[in-house]
Amino acid sequence: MGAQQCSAENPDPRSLSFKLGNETIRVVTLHKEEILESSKVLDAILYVTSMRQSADLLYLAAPRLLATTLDNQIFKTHGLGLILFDDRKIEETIEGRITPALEPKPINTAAVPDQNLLSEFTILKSMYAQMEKTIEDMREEMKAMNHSARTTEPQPPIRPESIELPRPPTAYTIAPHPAQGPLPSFFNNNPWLDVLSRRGRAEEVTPLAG
Amino acid sequence: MDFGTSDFKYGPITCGEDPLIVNNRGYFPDRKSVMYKAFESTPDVVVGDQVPLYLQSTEDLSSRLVYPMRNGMIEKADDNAWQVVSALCQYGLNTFSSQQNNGFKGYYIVASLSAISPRYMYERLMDIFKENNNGLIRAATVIPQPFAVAIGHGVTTCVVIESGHGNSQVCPISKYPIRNAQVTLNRGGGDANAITSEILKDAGYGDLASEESFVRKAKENIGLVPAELDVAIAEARKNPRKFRAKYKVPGTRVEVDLEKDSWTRFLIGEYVFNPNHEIFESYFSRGMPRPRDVKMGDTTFRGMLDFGDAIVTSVEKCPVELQSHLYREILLSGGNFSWNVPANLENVAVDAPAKIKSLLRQKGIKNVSVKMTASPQFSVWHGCIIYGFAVPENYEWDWQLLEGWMKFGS
Repeated sequence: MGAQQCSAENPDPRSLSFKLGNETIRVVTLHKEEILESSKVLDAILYVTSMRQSADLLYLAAPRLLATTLDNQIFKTHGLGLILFDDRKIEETIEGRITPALEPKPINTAAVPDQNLLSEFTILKSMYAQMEKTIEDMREEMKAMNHSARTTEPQPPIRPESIELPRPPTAYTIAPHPAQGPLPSFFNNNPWLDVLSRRGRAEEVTPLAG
Repeated sequence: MDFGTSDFKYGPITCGEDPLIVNNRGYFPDRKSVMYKAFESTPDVVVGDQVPLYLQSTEDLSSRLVYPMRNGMIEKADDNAWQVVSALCQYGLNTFSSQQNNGFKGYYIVASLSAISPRYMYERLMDIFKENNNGLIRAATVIPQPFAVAIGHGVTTCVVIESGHGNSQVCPISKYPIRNAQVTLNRGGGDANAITSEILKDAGYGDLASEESFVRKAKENIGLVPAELDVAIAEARKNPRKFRAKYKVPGTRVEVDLEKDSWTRFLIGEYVFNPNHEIFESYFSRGMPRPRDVKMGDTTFRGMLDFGDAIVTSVEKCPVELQSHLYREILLSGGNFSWNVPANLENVAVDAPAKIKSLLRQKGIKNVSVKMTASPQFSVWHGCIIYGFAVPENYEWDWQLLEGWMKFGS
């Protein structure tokens, strides 16, 4: 028997709550329109982490497009699960881990900074900066795609005496972009990142020749 | 790691836009020499920036200085060449070994070989990585250079045409290399050098025609690709002053001037793309080697196939529904496609993409897109970096597909 949704126990509209045996699972979903706003992405991630006291397993569900901007290692370190979805399927990319509930810390008037907290904050800060830059790139790419879709010329008729190929719709721009963020410029708008990231997965198209 | 015919390009993603480069060669010091005996730590083979320090002007370099991948392939039993490759791998890894961060578990190595490399080269390279591990290699893979070019250029469905010194390959790619559709030509920059040498001899420069480095420079400076050979020859004969082919070696008095025979400059470019014109028969009959079909291992190198026929032959080995997509993205890579078009000869001389389009038009293929790779020197390395970054670490090496990660680290 699979997990059962327990909406009655979960008044929170931002998350879904499930029961699997004795375990409570909470899933916060990030929608397609939200991934273009870096503040909403960060808010969702922080919201997931804030629910640690109320659930055994925590997941963030996000559109697959966001996958290249997320650092898997950080999710694994903090025991957060990651579910990626698109129009065809939903996939658990990182398995959530049960982490011990944090006990409330005693109030310490000496105000010694918690090193763990500081390092987590630093990691989140760098994640935020990287995501902001990547989301900006994605915004530019979508603008370019919208523009080329509006300006694509009608296809010429096929003449019987020769093979005349219709003009291709613009897919990915090949012209190099100035380097942005920590990755070299030849990463920008490169469709191979998505193609190669699917290598070895069951749904991948079989190669034509070996 | 890009093992090119002349250069070894290497480095991790932290190198940024450009890799580090050293010559793809190794020097085997004479063990009887004073140099070797004086410096006990002298290795058996020297690679990288240390090579010039060991070269001695009086010795015969041809036996001691080894260029392992001059023609893209290494013979199975060529131990010296494999030793050079191993030394270069070590050299590349050791360049970055001191820059490891805490928790470093080893690099993911992506090496790139010529498209014509047989399976034993992949096996041997994997053995080299295993031998040179020393905790620096977490996993390794090998990908063909045209595949790396397509990745570096950002096009998932295309035909990559790689043309180097000894041969050229036409490689269709559709998310994977389509290996059984690959067509290899036994023709490259070396053949353009050969026809240039004959032209120089006919023009009275026999002494210069025998110096390989001069012939290559002359080819680069006076060679042109004609839009249409017969038209170009007629125009050049009518107006020899406009088409005059003249080249002077900088800093010397050495100069060639083809004068009224300047029309022959168009033969140099035409020969690379299409050696079938009847005008070349006179050169063959006088002893210039005719490019022949040669079989090496599983690969047949076609000698006289022009580039248009080679592309059509290759694409038509692919599924019909894919063919139009392949013609839409043809990428040219390699030094043999770098041809100048002088400003005043634009209607008669063309660059490589235009020539390929013209050859395809003659076969009835129109509205194709042919481009030079944006970064011809580094596109293979760019592709290797992207491949290493994106491919999941649990994608294991497959000897059928010749893809995936061969794990070495723990």
